[in-house]
Amino acid sequence: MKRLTHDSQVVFNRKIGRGIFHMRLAVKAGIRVKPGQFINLLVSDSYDPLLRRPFSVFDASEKSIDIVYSAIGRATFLMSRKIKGESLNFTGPRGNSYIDFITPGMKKTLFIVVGGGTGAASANYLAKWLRRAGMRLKLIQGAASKGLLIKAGEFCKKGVLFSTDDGSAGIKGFATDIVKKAASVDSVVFACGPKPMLGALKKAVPKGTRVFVSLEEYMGCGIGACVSCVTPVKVKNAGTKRVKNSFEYKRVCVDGTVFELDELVL
Amino acid sequence: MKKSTMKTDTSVSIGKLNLKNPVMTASGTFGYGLEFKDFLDLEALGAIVVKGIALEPVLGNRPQRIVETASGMLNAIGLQNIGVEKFLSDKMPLLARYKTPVIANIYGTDVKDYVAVAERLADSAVAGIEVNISCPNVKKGGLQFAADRKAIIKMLGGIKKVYKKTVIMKLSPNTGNIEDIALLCEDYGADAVSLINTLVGMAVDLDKKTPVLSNIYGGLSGPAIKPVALAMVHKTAKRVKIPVIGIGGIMNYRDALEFIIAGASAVQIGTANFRDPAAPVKVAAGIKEYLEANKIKSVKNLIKTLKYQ
Ligand SMILES: Cc1cc2nc3c(=O)[nH]c(=O)nc-3n(C[C@H](O)[C@H](O)[C@H](O)COP(=O)(O)OP(=O)(O)OC[C@H]3O[C@@H](n4cnc5c(N)ncnc54)[C@H](O)[C@@H]3O)c2cc1C
Ligand SMILES: Cc1cc2nc3c(=O)[nH]c(=O)nc-3n(C[C@H](O)[C@H](O)[C@H](O)COP(=O)(O)O)c2cc1C
Ligand code: FES
Repeated sequence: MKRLTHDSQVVFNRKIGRGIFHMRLAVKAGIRVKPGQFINLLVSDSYDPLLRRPFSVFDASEKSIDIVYSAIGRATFLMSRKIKGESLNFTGPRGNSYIDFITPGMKKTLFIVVGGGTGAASANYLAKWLRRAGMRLKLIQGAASKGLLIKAGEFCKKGVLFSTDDGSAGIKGFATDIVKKAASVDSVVFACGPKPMLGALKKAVPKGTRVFVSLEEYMGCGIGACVSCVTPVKVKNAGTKRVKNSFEYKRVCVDGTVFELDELVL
Repeated sequence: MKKSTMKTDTSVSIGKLNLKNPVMTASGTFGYGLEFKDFLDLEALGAIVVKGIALEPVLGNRPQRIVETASGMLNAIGLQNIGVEKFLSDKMPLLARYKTPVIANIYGTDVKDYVAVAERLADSAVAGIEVNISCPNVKKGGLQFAADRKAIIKMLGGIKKVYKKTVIMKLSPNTGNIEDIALLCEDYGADAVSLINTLVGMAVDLDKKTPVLSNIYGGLSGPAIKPVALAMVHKTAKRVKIPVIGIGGIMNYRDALEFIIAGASAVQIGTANFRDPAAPVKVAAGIKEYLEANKIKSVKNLIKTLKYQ
């Protein structure tokens, strides 16, 4: 059996923005994570919350995992009160990776990495991976306002571009406005963020630009068993006799979370 | 030191099936089983009940399909599944490698479909079928049959003709007369009944003023439904002679034993799999330990042993 359930300990759990926290979990048994993957956290011993909660990996080492989360509901509020040394169980990492889509032909490609809101979490780990791999990188983060920007990890480095809806930091507008200026058909865009942002990306890039996005859907099992977390994906050869439907439902937790934007029915 | 001579027997029989322990997985919460092979030993399970299978692949409902509620969850998956042919060609050969009986949960949009799926499974490695006449999340098929006595009689007649192995009827808590339906199933040849399926429920998003689920209604499962399930299992087990399989909010071995004492011959673990993918084997291990600690020879000695004050 592979090791896919882990007991971890909180190393730190810092507030880094308005309602935003950065938590590090120590994983003694060791762990390997690829950019874009997520873990599914069991937040409470009681049945409130009952289900695990999925979080993208913000950063990882062989013995630790970092997540950045926004305290918006019952589970994330409980998480925000966890202190150093407390135990948390998680399953994973699960899901495919952005880097599964990187081909040898992309050595000279400019990678535009976009994180919107807490979608910045997986963007961070991807940016770190690309930088270490010596790839050309432009890192962008968008948030509603200054206090909601995630200023940690790769986002503290020089050259990162920020946007806020209210103009309180970076450019006033959307992350996709920055993408519009930076993207060319030869660039590859990787993005994670709210659905409207992912939809807007389609219009922000020149036709033919390859865009890959990491999706979030409400999850039950997080391991591909319950088909809760599905998203409609276009079916090839639709309209022919054998293929009745123009789309099929794919599971975000194991078939994604990363999909090519063109394939999605958003 | 003298070795204990007592060997604890956790096995139970359901129809023609002999299970090494009374713990099965609940349909729809355990995929096609294989998704869990990295989380537990599939051979430590009494039986694997797979996701509901129809004659043809089914797309399922639009998302959002689930939402957590107080100590439970609502789901409206809409029975998305790969269809019986693909199940037999892609999943069953891999599942058959494990020494655990596989029970196929089946459903259709009319009686004919149900019988056709059963017939298709008759010569396969599938050890038994669980007939879902209780899904609240599809427009056709499922719930409409839950209390339709004529349809059930016709369905069981058709199925028993083409399917000679164990037939379990999965019953709905949404009809109000679950014991009567169980009795009817017994009279018309069902080998066992399993209950309960989910209870119809709903969640509202106050900010958006919309239902949370695209299907509006969903099926409630998890710890929230355990008392309802226990009552229905108890009432049903008093009426029928065939085994009753208890389902509903079982999170640990103590919950499972409560069902067994109330009348269940076996149990199924559903929503608990989402919290802990190893839950079913932990329940099975817990039952064994309980028997040993209390010097009970066989789990069968616990079935229907509720004492009344
Ligand atoms: C693959 C993936 C990666 C994610 N990564 C991050 C991240 O890095 N940082 C971050 O802050 N958030 C992330 N999220 C969202 C995070 O899981 C939810 O914010 C969290 O579950 C909310 O739980 P709650 O109890 O605090 O809120 P609740 O009050 O329960 O719900 C608030 C909202 O959170 C969402 N949600 C609730 N339960 C689940 C669930 N079981 N599965 C999915 N969504 C749910 C729903 O949209 C809901 O409307 C991710 C979600 C997914 C699917
Ligand atoms: C996500 C989900 C999908 C389900 N799909 C099916 C199904 O396909 N067929 C079926 O008979 N029951 C299905 N059920 C019902 C369960 O098998 C079980 O009867 C119910 O969830 C109650 O048990 P629990 O409280 O332990 O989850 C499903 C339940 C859930 C939560
Ligand atoms: S969350 Fe269960 S299949 Fe994705």
